[in-house]
Amino acid sequence: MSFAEFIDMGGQGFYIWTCYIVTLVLFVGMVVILKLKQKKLVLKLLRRYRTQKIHNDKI
Amino acid sequence: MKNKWQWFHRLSSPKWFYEISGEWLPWIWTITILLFAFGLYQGLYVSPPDYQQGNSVRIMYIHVPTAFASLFFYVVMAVAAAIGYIWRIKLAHMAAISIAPIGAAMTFIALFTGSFWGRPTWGTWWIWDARITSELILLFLYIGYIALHDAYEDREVGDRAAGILAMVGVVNIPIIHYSVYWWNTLHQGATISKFGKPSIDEQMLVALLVMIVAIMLFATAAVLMRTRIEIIDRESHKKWVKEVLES
Repeated sequence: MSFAEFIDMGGQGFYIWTCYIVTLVLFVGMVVILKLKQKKLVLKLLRRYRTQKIHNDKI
Repeated sequence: MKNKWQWFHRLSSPKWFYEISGEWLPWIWTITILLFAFGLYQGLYVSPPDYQQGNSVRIMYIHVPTAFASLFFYVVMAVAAAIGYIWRIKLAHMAAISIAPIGAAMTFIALFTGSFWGRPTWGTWWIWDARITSELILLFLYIGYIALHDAYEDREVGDRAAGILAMVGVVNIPIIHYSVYWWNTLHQGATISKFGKPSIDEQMLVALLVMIVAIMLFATAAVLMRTRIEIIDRESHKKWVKEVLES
């Protein structure tokens, strides 16, 4: 089987590859969004802990 | 004194869950990636085209696992919401709200791939039959759960209110599952049955089973990641979270 035949999938390539690509994009997207969300939250909390510490030191 | 409920309390401790899930995640990801590599090779290359549907049958290797995951994780979400509601266990609510977006994504992919499978095999993108309509309702249940949860200023009130919606929505799950038997439809019946020999080619069955495990593990990993974020967010005032994040 040639590469072109593999991509063509007997004329049904459009339907098959759209499904696989959309799924891949959504799966990768989910992980990226979760990683970014986690990073943002950790940075926010670390900043909060630091200001709390400065606040406590002053008292 | 050893309490017989000790394991239950330990299991419901966000700190314990955070630690154990952190240890598991790298393993789950490794197995998931290996299974995807094999499953995609098997599904797109090794397995044969269907004698009726041709190559479009390969959409099954995404469609069936995501559809299965969409139902499975809904039940897990509803059970978690019920545990949180009845025993007021915070970790259960955190898990429930973490499952919702991932379950919604799985439902969307199942509907999307179903549509792209329907076009070349049935000649239509969409029909309002029982299976597809009830799966669409599942997507709305997931979205409704998230929206209702986020509508409350007080997160704990949101947990409980949305939890009721999740629990009531469980009635939809058997409807989706049995819809292809109860109503006349274009949709095909189950590919793998617990009873009797499967009516499917062996290479196809291998591809399908591997992809089911891969996608279930992927969704589990995503749910664990999401739950860990929820834990540090809600427990941010606790000493252990501060220590973990500052180390």
